Amino acid sequence: MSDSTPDDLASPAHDRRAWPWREAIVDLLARTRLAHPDELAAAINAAVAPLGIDITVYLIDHEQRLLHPVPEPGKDVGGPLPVDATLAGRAFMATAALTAPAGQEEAPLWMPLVDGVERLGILRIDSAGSAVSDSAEFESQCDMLAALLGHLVAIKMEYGPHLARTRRTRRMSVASELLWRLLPPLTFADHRFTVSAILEPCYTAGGDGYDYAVDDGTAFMVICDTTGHGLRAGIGTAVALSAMRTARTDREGLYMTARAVDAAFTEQFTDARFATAVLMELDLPTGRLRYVNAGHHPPIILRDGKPAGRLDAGRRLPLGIDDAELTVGEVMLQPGDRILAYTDGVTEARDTHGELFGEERLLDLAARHTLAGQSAPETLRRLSHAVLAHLDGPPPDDATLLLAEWSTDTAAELLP
Amino acid sequence: MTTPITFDINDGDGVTLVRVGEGIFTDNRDPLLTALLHLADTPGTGIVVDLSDVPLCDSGALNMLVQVHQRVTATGGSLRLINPQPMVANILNVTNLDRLIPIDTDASDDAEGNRK
Repeated sequence: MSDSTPDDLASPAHDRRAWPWREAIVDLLARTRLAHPDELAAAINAAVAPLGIDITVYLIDHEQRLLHPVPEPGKDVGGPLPVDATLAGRAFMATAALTAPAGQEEAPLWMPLVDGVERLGILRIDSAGSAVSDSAEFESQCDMLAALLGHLVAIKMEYGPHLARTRRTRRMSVASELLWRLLPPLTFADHRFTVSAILEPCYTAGGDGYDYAVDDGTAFMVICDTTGHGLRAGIGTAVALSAMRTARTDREGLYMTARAVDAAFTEQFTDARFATAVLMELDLPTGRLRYVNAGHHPPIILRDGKPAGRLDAGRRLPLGIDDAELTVGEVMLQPGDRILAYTDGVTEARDTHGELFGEERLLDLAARHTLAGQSAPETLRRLSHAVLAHLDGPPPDDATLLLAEWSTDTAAELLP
Repeated sequence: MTTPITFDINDGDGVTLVRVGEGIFTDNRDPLLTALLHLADTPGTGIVVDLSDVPLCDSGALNMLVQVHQRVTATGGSLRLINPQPMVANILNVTNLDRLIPIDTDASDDAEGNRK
């Protein structure tokens, strides 16, 4: 293969069995099938070594500030890279492959590591002296390899703490451990819809939660906030999300899904625990959004970055308080509309002078990031950091944001 | 730290007025919750909570009110809130709890002579 020219490699006529990228991927699959999470990084490099390249896997921490290298035996992987101040971080924020400007020999390629569109981190790909690095297909093949590695990292994460540990900068509270096990990935997109969420404080979460699921041409989305703090509230949120999932799996609608939480709470808790929540169901072909607002701050419809409506109909009591009220709100979205939902920890964050973060500031910032062309997960990363920066000390309450966009254009922004 | 809760309880004709002295939060509400649940256990009690001096509350306060509401209605009594300040009234409105628990915003006549 080493005598193949780049044209040979790019040509469909070349012998695919002998194609080095194919061999590397076949070898990677063989090496990782039975690999522990802590063996993954070395297995990746063993598989790509014949290509003459070396890969360092960086994972984003839960606070989405630093990219941490996954430790690898016998290799100096260096320290974490700040998202806001490095080329790696720029590649992460924009979900785009980046390399240092021409002229810098041996500059690595920074390739986003995503599972679907869930931003897991960054790959540092060093290819100095590699036979494949000059080929026309180098970047597209790295992209394909990165897509596979994103899935592999996500799958292996479940089997031991090594990769999960890399993403943490401190010990998690029991409530946070419970919640993160339960919540879906922060971001999902298909070709006509994106949903993303963020939750702080990520290591000491309490009663906030979010969920989404796509099924049968609809996207179901929830934001919720259970009364109280800490594990007690977290258990309430775990019960609420689980009750909703059971109902949705049984194809129940918004009303019955809300009632399922009422039943679970009434049966399980004697302390009148309840959760405010918005349950939304977006019909993906038409943009029709149906919703139930169970005593939660109304989510806002953003059109071209500006507020164009609120989800303040479909009102019922908070989930967990027996309420047979049957009203469902409905609104037709226009292509490109975003829905921004939040919990009160966002707007009620106070600075040293007691000033609230407030909805107006939230909407101003959301508009700014939207108009600057930031993707949904990047918009939320910045909004969440703005809330934390506003606070005087550690967050007294959970602050959760959920941003959905009904658009055929957004998925492409989220792919490398 | 949150200010410890203070409150006055005045028994009237079949109505017990509870006037709360400051903001009600998760970490200061317990003495008030205990007192209100105790009142609620007497069958047929009408509890009126005066919120004039409560500038703010959190979800722990809302949970307290729901607990008391459930207990007092189970024993044939009632719970009513009077004079919520704007931020508290707004929270009760956003959470729709004003549909569950009756609220009087101008309740000068209800206070058994204790109101200004």
